[in-house]
Amino acid sequence: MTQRLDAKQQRMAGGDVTAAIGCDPEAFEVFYREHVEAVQRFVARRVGTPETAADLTADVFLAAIQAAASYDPARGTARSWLFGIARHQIVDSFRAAAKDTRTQMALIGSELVHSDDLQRIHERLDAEAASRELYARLGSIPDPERAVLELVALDDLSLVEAAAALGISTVAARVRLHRARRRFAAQDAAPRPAGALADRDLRVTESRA
Amino acid sequence: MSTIDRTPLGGFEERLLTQLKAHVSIQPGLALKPGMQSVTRGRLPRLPRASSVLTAAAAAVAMLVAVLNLLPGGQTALAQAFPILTQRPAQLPAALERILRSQRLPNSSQPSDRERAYAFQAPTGTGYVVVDQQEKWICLFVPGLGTGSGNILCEAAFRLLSEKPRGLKLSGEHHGSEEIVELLPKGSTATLISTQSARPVALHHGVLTVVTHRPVSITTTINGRTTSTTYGIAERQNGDS
Repeated sequence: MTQRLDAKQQRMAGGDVTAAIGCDPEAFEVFYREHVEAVQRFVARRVGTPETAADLTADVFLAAIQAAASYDPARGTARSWLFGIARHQIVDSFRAAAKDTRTQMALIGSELVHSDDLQRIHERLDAEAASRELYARLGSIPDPERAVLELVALDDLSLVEAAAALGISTVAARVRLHRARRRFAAQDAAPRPAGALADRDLRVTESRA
Repeated sequence: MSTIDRTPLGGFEERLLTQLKAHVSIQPGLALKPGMQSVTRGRLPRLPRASSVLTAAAAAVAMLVAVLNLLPGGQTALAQAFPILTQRPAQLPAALERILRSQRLPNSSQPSDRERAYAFQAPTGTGYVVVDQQEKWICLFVPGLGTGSGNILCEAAFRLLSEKPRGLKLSGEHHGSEEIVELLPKGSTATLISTQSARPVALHHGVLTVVTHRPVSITTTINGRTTSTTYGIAERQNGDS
């Protein structure tokens, strides 16, 4: 079924709606519809269970609502801003799990998952299984460097977008990316189990920057 | 007029959208960035062309009062609803502050926007009700509940102050017992019902705490609305007898 948006929604969709998502439900809906799939795929490249994926998807958008006032279009696209938030949320959730602290958010995404959603969510998770393997292999690279490599190689952001997502300069991002690739290559020179990803899986197209 | 398509969402995504939109608070006229004004301009109330400076000033003051959520008597709406917020604030423990920060709860991006913590005695230690300075958020923290250092539940204040006021509730297992802690709005009552008896539970500044070893039901009445929850194991008493 195709629905049509009114003139205001068109204007918002074409313009900079992001800064308004914290105070305008219509703006938020436009933003959400545009980005929800990308966020779900972003999450699926990092976590493999439907419940956690649903929780994190909710957390990402909730954090985006709370941080909307800080969005500055001059510093990058809405997508890179959102991916920066998403990455932060996921890292936070891993840290919280490691510390064994449980935070119960006002909105719990997994409670909104019904049985008829599960197959679709599992399919998305299955489709990103290789990415999750790659994500796990990046774990030994120091976080600042890994963050750039992750966003570029895993999430297909350009170097400029990755820099914006992480709030660093493009030059700094390029340096970190170079170091991360070098570390990854060194790590990858070690014997790996059969079926592991090959170097080509970590193609980085710096030219997009 | 050209149009754009809106792809239908899945069930989960639609439900999530509905929930998330409830967290978007409409704040007309509040320090909008230039880029935001074009989006929200249509919502802003427009003063009559002939309105005087005084009228505009009065409107601004009214809006400021609304924003600060101040009510006659100097208490905020949240403090009027939740008696514990009229108590003297306690020091926010560093561990709890770290949890709030690490989870980006609540809005703490501004150095001046500090949280206030109000302590209460929970069976597992000192619990806290935490509100941010602007009272947009209210959190309930109970130590030792569940696994790890504790459990925290946060909610947007406007949702607790809606037409159907409600509280914040946390429950979890602790050393083989079940602990229930609930922050209830002013005027609420609670009754503990076990197989042997039913008795009212005293609230301490609106905080209900129950530790149970046997199955019980707790019935709370908030503004005439009664809710009953059954817990798997039950009972030892409560916060404030």
